[in-house]
Amino acid sequence: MSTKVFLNENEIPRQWYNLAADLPTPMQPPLGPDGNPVRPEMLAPVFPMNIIEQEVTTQRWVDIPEEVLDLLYRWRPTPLYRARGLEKALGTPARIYYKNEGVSPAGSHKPNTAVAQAWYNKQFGIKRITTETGAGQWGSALSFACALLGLECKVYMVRISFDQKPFRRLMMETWGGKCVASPSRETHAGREILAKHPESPGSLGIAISEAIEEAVSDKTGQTRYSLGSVLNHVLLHQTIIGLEAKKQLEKFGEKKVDVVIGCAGGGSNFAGLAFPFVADKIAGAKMDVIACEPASCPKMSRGQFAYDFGDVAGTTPLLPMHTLGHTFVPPPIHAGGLRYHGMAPLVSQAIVEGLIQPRAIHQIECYKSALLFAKTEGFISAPETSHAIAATIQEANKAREEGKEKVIIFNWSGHGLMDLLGYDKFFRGELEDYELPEHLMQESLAAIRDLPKPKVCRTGKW
Amino acid sequence: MSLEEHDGRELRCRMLGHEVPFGYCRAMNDGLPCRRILDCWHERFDVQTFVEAHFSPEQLARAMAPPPPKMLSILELIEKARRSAEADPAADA
Repeated sequence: MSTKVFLNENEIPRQWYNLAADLPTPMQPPLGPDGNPVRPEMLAPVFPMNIIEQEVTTQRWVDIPEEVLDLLYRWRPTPLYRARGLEKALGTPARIYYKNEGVSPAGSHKPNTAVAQAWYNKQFGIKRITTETGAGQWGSALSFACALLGLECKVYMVRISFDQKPFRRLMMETWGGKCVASPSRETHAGREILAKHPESPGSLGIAISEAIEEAVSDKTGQTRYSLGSVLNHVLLHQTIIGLEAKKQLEKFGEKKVDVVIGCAGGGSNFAGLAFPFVADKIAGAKMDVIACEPASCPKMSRGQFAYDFGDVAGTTPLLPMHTLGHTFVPPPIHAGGLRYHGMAPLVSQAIVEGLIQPRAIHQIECYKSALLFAKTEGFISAPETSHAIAATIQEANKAREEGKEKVIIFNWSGHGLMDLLGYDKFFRGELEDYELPEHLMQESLAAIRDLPKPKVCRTGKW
Repeated sequence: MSLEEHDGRELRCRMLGHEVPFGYCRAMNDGLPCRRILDCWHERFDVQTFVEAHFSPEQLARAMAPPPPKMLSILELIEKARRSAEADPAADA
């Protein structure tokens, strides 16, 4: 009775999977400021052409270069665990599996794309990569990848994170990355902010501006920018997670999967596990694919304050202020056809199609779930990962109530050893949840009832 | 209601990936609130009344306008960086 299944290195998937090839409603090409589709050369100042090709490709399978595989072998294939301890604690007939992405050197799924992006940049003759980071997960992953390939890495870390999260900064420096607090004096964008707000704590927006400016203004042409989530090529690189998992489930003797679960921030770790299974769903397999997020600040499972009409119309929103001056409560149901702000377009479209169901979970439930997981499986989870654990427990309890032997798999996207402060607050009882009163929910819905509904593009099959 | 009244409250910022005080959320956007301030804080206290008391409708409209899709924002930043470099070429040296 196995608890975990490894793959041999020669069993690692040799191609990434591209969901764009199979989505029933094709992705619209991204539009530039002039309303016309973005042309590859427009992105050339920040991305090498080999990555731009991956960004726009509609090929179903993309070969993973042997040299990238050689780099990935440092921690891949990652193990797939059967969560026997958790199953026992829950008394569920469900079989629960989790893909352990916390075994990478940086401790999360992020190096899967960092290594690939660094390699493609190097192939293109790039010597230096810039990026931005908040708490440092992405910055540390890219620093690690650049160290493997002998590239310089410059990370603009949001000032408040730089001050509060020194350990990931030290990880970046250990791998040779140069980490500077943003806003910095090293770019026009940073100096402009500092002139107005000398004590600025920074933001991801400022840090991105600085990282892009540095890439664009390098007159040698040997610097490019790298992004750790949202874009298609990032999701593509992450699909190795789900492709490995499918092989490993077979080794466990599983013939079908009932529930696939991941937490979704920008969407890359979720997509990495889920997209290869979504392909099966498109082909007729019956399963639930669940993207989890925090209930306190949802992107997917409730309407956003600001509706995005920008896809077609450019940057001018039609109704940016529709709730200000009225009672504001984010509406609980997304009207469909919306672009979820900050969420990968491929994930957004799969939600609109009904292939993926978003689920919001309260933080206390997440921490309780992470604690149960730590006590039964041993691993201490990143706060984001705890959302996936909470949803898994919900589904396992449901299976018990229904008396069904479901197969549930989730992505354990990273460890929480750098995030123990959140656990500390939970232990001290400093966290709180809030249930929205029904009457406020109804008032909110009434406020948006007569607003124009965005265009919905879906087949209605799911 | 003072501007600093809620500054000590904390929550986990899903963008940055760590705890931040409310004082960050109300001022991180060039002195204006984060565009997600209502989404993130509405469950903790009456943040809407707070922002309406301290920012004009024009400021809030600017702060809370939805962002363009990622690809479009990257293109805009490329253009902005090019303009900055042209306006002040010496600073790049």
